[in-house]
Amino acid sequence: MKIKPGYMLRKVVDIHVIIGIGDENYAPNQIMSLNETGAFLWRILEDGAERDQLVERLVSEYDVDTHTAEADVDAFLSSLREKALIAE
Amino acid sequence: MKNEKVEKLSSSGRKGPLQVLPTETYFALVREKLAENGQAYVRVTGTSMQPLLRHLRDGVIIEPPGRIRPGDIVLFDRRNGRYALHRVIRIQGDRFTMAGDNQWYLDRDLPLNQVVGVVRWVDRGGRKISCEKFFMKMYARVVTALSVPRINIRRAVGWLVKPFRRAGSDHRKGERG
Repeated sequence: MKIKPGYMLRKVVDIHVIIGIGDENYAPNQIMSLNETGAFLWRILEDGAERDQLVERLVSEYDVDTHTAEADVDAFLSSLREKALIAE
Repeated sequence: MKNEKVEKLSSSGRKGPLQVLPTETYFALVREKLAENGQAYVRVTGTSMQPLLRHLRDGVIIEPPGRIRPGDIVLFDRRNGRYALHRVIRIQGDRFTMAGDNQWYLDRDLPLNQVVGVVRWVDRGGRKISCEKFFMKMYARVVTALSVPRINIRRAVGWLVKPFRRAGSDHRKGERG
């Protein structure tokens, strides 16, 4: 799965902001932001990755056990799906 | 190298990794743009102004509120983090009544000073139409004149058929931006 084309992640001061340009389904009167870990996973998803790869990268980059990382990745992916930000 | 600054995500953290910032963050930018350029573009969300303004397909260009007249579409700050793009039905002093073209109730006794901007142009699927155009003025006039009877008739019909409806099925259309 991969982040849809029309979206960019930009750091504004210390906030990671998602900017939607070119996706007509994007609810534009909204500004979405990601935390540090969300931004980390987003960058991987920009090039495309599967769930297990995300878990692996999270475990190797951050000090978390696999179990927590899995729960976090699943929660993150479901929020991206809910906002229709990724293409499977 | 492990990153020491571990952020717990959904499992323990209060905030998830993805957050939608408060609407006010967005409209603060709109206000800024209005003050700076005298104009701002707002994308339409919700169905309350259909068929003229379609959810996510159309947009409007607003200007700072000068003289507001019945028939104008205004961006109204509800001061609860919600905004509405609805049509002014009548004005009484510094208060006014508005309704969405596709809504079945009147929003009465609203303070005029909470109007952020007035729609001067409509972007209908990429086509920019001035609200000063003859057709747009006529449309506004007809919709505004008909809004009160339209809503009253609907209410009367609702009241008449109520005894025939099962309890609990009385639904009022929710407020949409």
